[in-house]
Amino acid sequence: MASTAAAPATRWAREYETIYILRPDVGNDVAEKIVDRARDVIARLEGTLTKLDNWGKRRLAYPIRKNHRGLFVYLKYVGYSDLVAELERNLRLFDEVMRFQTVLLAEDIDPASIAVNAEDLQYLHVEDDEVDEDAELERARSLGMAPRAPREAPADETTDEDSDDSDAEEASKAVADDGENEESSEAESNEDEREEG
Amino acid sequence: MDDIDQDFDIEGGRRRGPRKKAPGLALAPDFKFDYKDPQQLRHFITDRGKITPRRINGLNARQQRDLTRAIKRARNIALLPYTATK
Repeated sequence: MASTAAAPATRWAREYETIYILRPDVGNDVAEKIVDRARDVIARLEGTLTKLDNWGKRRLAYPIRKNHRGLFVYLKYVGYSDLVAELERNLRLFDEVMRFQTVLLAEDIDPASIAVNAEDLQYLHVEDDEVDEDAELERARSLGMAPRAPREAPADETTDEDSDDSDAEEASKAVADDGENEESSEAESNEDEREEG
Repeated sequence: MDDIDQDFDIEGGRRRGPRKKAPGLALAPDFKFDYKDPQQLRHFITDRGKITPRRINGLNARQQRDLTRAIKRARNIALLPYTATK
């Protein structure tokens, strides 16, 4: 639209990263279509895509639109502020995008100085590697924060049922709750010791 | 009513001296938390998903701010829970 050409002086760009989550039941073609749209938008607004990554289907920490998993896609790019607005507008148009988030990484970047590694830009289709998924689930369960088992999930995936594991061993967290209980007890005694003058 | 009284008894005025502090964490001074790394951040949330206070995790103010920001970002993108049941 009204994105005029760069001013004679250097127009400082900014580096952003965007993560968006697709519904777990999207096909590869739709996922690719959305990535292509993102590429188009970035190219149209004079941005440069520097990294594109497919994290695959991951378990969500909480259900979004009744889905317990989502397909995470990660974009890193350099551009101007109008680019973020336009990209997010486009993501909003897709029904398959459940959630997105853009974070500013760096400011005052000279657009001419960006080096792009071409193989970082390929969108690879990740098959769900169940091993990784299970390990993550197990870890989450050992920390006591696994979501309830998604019983009603439509049978689009291979069996994801619980492989009952011996957890609760490695629940040794860095968070030891000390310092909380002692202080109240020690202050208690001093109150009653007043004598009568 | 008695809730309030109880709160007062526990919280109010009785504490002698400052709260006990946790030992400082030996992080690199320029260490930054990454919201894309939930496994790391999980060390700093409770079972219920709350962010631990500095009194417990021993971070300094700057690190705690950075941590809070990272956890909130991670929550937004469903890498960490907002709440969790026990």
